[in-house]
Amino acid sequence: MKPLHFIQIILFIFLFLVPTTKVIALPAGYIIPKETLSPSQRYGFIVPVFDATVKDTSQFQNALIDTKTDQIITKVDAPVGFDRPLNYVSVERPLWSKDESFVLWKVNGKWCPTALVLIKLEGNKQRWQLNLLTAFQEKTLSYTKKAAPEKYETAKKATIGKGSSYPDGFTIDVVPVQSKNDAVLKLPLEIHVTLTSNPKNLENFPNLNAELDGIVKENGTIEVKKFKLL
Amino acid sequence: MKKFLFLVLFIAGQSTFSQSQKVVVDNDIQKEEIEISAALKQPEPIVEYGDNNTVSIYETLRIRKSNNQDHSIIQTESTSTSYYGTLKIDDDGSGFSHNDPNHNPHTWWQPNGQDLNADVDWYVVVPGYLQKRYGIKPGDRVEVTLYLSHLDLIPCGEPCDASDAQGTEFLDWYSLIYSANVGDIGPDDKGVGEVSVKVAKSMGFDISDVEGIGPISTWNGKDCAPVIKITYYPSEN
Repeated sequence: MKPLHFIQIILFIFLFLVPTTKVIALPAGYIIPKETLSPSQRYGFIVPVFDATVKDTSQFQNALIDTKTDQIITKVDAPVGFDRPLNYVSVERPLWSKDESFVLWKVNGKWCPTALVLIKLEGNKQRWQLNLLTAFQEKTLSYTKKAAPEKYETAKKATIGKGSSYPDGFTIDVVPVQSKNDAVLKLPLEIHVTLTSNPKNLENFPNLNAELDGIVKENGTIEVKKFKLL
Repeated sequence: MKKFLFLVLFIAGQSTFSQSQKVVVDNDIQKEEIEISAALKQPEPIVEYGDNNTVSIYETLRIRKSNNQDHSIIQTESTSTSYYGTLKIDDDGSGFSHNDPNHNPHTWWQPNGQDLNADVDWYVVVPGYLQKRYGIKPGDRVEVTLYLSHLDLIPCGEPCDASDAQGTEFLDWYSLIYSANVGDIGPDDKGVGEVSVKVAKSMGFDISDVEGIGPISTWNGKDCAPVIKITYYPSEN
């Protein structure tokens, strides 16, 4: 073999056989929307591509992916968000801490998010995952029930027939105070919760309203700062 | 033999190279202006559609697409105010829940003490902030405008929330206008565009009930949520 041909073969190997970027083995039907990438683009979230043949969303999950190692770091343990808005359900741009060790994943819903999850990363692995939506909804329900047990039961009975987005029939919105304007997630994270039995202000309907303020610390613990019936 | 070896290496290289492209989708919609020749799409004849509807025909085929929020006010008159928003489907009231986790058996408007039925009643949902701003009351009259030419422009089956119309001329040569009432109220911080199942079906959309989401509008077998205009006529009393 002439030396020139040998060099040509080596060049071909480097040009075509050695991939220039790594292959991401995404599950079929999933994509990584650009807006879900972390500032360094090291991490991103996979979301399923919706099509009108889908009849049940419980078969889908979002997941955090390491774009460098091509590995799924963790699945998000919450209702899924798709690649496009569906009624009020839409994926919001995740909020990352400066060092990318925390990420707040949010899927918008009608009266409250359908998913609000804080994920702690350490060494490119999940340290823990906290469902802020359900955690703060349960806290608020517990405080409200303790503060006004009779009104709570009356309101709960009046809200029979509501869908699964209303725990015990109440409309409970959980809002990360910081994420409204800030581009960077900072811990401890302030959370504001509003609870109402009557979001439409219907006449002759039991009214029970409450507010709760709390924080999420860096170790994943929740602390309630203030609660009041309105 | 050498040529064969080169060919094999080349094909293998091409195959590997094509697989190496990352699957990252850019959902940012670039601001763009679409101009369509009038010669390509001639206005169709006036069509009567649904109850108490009128049809407006404009000759302008100029639509500017941008990635604005769907809260965009387009006009305020002394007797009415109009907003654009992407189509959303409401199933609240006495009817079927349509697998909607947000289903509420009660509607804001309860004529004769009875909740509306989204499957049979013509109504729209007013966002809480608009209700407060304009003093809109249950039962107030509204008009819902569907732009058929706009519908053609939206790639249904693709993410199609980006065609909102703040600051645009948004004149369509062919639209359908439906009369309805304000029947329900929505959250303070969400946009307009939510209509009852009945209104959506009357506009020609099919409804697909998705467990975990609720009813979504489809067009020709694909999910589709075009921008619609809702004009509110707040009553004085």
